[in-house]
Amino acid sequence: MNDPATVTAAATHDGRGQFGALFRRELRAYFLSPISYLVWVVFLVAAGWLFVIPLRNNAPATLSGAFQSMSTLLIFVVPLLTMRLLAEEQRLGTLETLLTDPVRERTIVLGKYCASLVFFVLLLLPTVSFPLILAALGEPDPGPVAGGYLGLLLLGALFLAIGLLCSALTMNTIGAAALSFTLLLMLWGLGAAAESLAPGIWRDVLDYASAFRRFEPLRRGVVDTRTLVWCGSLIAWTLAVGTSALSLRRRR
Amino acid sequence: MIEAHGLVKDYGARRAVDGVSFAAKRGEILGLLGPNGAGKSTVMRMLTGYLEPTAGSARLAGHPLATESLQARAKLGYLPENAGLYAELRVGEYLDYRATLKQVAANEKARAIQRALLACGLTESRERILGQLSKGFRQRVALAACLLNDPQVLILDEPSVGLDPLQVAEMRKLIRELGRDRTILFSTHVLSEAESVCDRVVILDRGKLLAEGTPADLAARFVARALHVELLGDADRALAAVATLREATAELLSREPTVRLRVTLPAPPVAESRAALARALAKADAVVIGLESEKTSLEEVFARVTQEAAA
Repeated sequence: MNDPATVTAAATHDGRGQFGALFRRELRAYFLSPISYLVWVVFLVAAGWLFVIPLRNNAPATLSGAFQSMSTLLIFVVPLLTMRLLAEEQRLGTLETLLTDPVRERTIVLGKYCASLVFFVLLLLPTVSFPLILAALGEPDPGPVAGGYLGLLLLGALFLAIGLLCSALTMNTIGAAALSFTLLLMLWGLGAAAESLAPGIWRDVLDYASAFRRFEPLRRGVVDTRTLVWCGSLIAWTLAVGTSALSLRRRR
Repeated sequence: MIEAHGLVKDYGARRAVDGVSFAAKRGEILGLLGPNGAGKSTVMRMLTGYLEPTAGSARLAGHPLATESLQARAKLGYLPENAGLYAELRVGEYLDYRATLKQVAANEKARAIQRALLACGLTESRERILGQLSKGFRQRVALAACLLNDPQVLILDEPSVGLDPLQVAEMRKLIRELGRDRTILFSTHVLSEAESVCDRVVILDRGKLLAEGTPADLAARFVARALHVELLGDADRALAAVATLREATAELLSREPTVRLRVTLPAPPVAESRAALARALAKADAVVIGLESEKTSLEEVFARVTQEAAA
């Protein structure tokens, strides 16, 4: 028998071990899923193509256009990466054991979110070759390149949080993908709508709410702490809502 | 160890569980019986903290689930009816993962896994991939995962569903062994299983608790209205003596070497009716040498209880 004191002491632990276990299993699931590889290949081919087009037209040596295109690609990529995070647990019948083990809902959400974030970083990793190619052909300004990657990472992190929330809300993989795609499309639509408006309060409001518009300064190499705080707060809020959605399943 | 107080669960306008209360103490195996849709799984899910009750409360190993759910769950082993497993993991990897989630201390984990593998007959299967296991083995792995934290309370929802007869027998043996120093609540459709494994049973139907007690108590209370009487004397006079008792009927089973009667009484044979029967037979100069209640199966109890509730 386990020493009850050992188990009790462990039970009062802050859940770092549980986070690690959830994180590792989720990351492993990404690497074992054919959809992950399909998404990876499609994203890299599309991003590579969108990087090459301006170069063939003798455009200036910047990655601004590629970053913008990759941001738009995330609308399609992220729902496919996040749809199974919690919905798959429901489909497999493992959610019941997960929620009856002594694990906090926030640990489950954070473990899964961080795994998706790491996979997303790995997805972006091969695109580092783009600035290297650009450096071989010309003299790109490193500021906008670093800012562009920071913006892409933040945008991806925000989208992943939204995708995870959708997975928690629907508990159905296809439903989660459809809902997160719709929400991300709406976010993109806010930016497009802002552009079409004349300067004024409504344009300011849409600009404020649009994730895509907010990251434009980063692509120019301008790091605004307000953008970082806005994004960080929105991610934290979305994950908190996702945690609540998981908790509310107990009351359904 | 397990206390349920007036548990209620509503799904919209439909009441799935209606004021269910019962308790089980340490070292007791309590069976939860009921037809499909009786609310057994819902009751179990409320007791594991997976579902919050609409009303009522529950305590597990001394912890109220409403306020100390994590502490209660740390002392629980739960096997859901359709326990899912991650097909890509090996048995040992899965148990390691679940042991971490169950907060088994790092220096205890290897021993806990070994003990669970041994208890469920899985020591040879540690390296096998979960997705390639048979239903029986998968059920064993799920049960092994329940045991990792050496739980004080085990809640098993239909643990023998899908198992072959040999595996069912093994599962029953394992439940009996585990029940020696734990509290076990388990649901089953197989009443003979409940009869052979449980110390007590609770019968649910349409969300309501209909009866609770040992299988023998329930049989005596709800069904067993017949007594088998063995006596020395004249069979016809004995039959006439029984006929003098109100609403009692007797059937002659044998005349030689002793007279054996099957006597049916209007109410379960409590001490007074047994005494009245013995007195009536004594008046007919019959010497009663044996008098025992007719054996009643849990199936009959279950049928009677649910029929009475429906009526």
